[in-house]
Amino acid sequence: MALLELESLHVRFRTREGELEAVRGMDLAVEPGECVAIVGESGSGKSQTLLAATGMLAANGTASGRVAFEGESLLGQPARLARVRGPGIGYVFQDALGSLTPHLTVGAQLAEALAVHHGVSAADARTEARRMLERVQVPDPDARLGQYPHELSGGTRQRVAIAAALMPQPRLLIADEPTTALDVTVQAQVVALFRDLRASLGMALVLVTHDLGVVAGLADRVIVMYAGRIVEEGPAVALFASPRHPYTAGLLAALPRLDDDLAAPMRTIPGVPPGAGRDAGCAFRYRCGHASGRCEVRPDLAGSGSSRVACHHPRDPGGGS
Amino acid sequence: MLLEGRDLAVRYRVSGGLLRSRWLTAVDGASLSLSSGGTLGVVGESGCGKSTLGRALIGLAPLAAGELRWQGQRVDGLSARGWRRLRRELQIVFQDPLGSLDPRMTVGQSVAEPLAVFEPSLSRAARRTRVGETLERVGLPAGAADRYPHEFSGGQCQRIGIARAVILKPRLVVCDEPVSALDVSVQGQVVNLLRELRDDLGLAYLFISHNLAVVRHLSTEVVVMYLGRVMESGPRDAIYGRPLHPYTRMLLDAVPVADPQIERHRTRTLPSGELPSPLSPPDGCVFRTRCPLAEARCAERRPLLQEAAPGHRIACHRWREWPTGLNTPPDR
Repeated sequence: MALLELESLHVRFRTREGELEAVRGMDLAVEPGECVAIVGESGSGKSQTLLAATGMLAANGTASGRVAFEGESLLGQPARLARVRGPGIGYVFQDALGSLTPHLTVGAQLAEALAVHHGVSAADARTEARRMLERVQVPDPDARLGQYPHELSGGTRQRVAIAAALMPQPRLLIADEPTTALDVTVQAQVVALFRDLRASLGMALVLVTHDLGVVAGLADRVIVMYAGRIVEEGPAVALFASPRHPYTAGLLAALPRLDDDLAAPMRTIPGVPPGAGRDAGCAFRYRCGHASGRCEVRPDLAGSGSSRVACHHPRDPGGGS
Repeated sequence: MLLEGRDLAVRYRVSGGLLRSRWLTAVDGASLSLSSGGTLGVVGESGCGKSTLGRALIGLAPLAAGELRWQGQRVDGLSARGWRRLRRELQIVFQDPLGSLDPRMTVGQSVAEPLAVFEPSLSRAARRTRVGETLERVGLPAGAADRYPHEFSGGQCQRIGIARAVILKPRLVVCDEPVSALDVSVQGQVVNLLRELRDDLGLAYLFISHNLAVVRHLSTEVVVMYLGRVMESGPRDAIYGRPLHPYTRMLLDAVPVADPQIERHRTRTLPSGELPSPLSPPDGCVFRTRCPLAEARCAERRPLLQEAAPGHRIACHRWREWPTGLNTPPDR
């Protein structure tokens, strides 16, 4: 049985400009122990998908469809959600200051994460908190226990937020842009930490990010979202080696690399990211070099085995277009 | 030389409680030069002083020490009024494209602002024409002038910010993380635009970014900073192809490669421990507390920038001992 399952998830927001549909029918199954990366740019719906699944949408948002964790339906079940969050699903946000409580010391909030769910004594919880700080390689853990979040560097703060999420030993960790606010050397350290934690703790990891470099270092499977829908999914190695959707290919080509040819201009995807309007066709067709009349009708996500693509003109699996 | 700085320092007074004030040295002993039409890339991580340095070079942050020359003339002692007069030639583009535009002003009003200050005699019609031409030059329709910033995407807002910076045809534009807030698919559009404008208008850039791959695209020269100090500087191909400072090498090695087959089997040497507080930087070499090559003399004496190859300068006592003791970065 899949650990987390989303079926036909829709997320809508009421705004002054009318209703905005951020996620437009999303299916996803995360198996125990695997790392799935959900990749997309701003407005793709990648963050809202996971916030909706865990009952953390903003007040003007509503989710519909089906969300199940270990077979139990979660949508519209606040009591069940409260039980699952923590020991079932841990969450790490981009901004570690947002995921930590500002007026609690590091020791207190780590201990709290454990005490709430496991009824562990305060002394035991503190010992466990110290062990967890060591586990996530926080320098000088004894001193950190007595410090407040704002006294920590960005990298240490993110490690503490990861430690707090890991305290109740979740079976699934959701990390939403966990390295985006970090410097490149710290980012590399945090990616290495996630890899190490997965190997030793065996938890599943859903990584929500726009950064394909981070994805390459961690993900088993990649899901690419555009304008609220999945446009391509597949095993990481295959997807990076031969992307089939023109958007995935464009995104990979647009990524600046240290070995880019400097005689040529940087590769880009023309046009602007999609707006929130309703569209019967493929949302990418305005920016796509392969678009044709057929693209006025939205392509279904289709494929064989673990690789699927939503495109009328997919590139050859062998590469090229 | 268009711009030349020697031993530049920027210090800020920070409150340290009752009756006590401490000084934060944001930039210390920075030397650099930029020739007309060139691009000096400034790289480094948060707190390295790259943005402060960029601002100080165009009079937007106070210089506490050092000599700064603009087209040969000393400008480090210039008054605010003196700097205002130079503003025509020195412009800046900020990171946050929407936040740097006034939401209540039309795009045309924002882009025309520098004209109102420096060419007040221009007629309304002439001003409108200049704004339209400039918008078209940055890839927007002239009609964008009548709309408001929130009607545009992040990439388009950055084009508007660039239009405002180049409308007076300045000599130097400081670009402070100009693509960091943009989606990957549009970052290249802005970088390519900056490159075209440089070639067409003969601009020089000071291009500040934490993204080493983006900096490589535009820069002719690169400065690598850490904790307010210049660690290494030189021609682009030297910095990227033959980096000499341990920090530069680790910084380049940390950049992820979008290929799972490479990325998963890669071991990196990264700076150990944490960034020290800029209020109490380490004695000697500021990088020594995180450097795998550090030894006693690194704490005793601060390494001065010395020339390792023509134009390639490095502040490290041990650079000659490369590459022992550290991973060699993958071939690039």
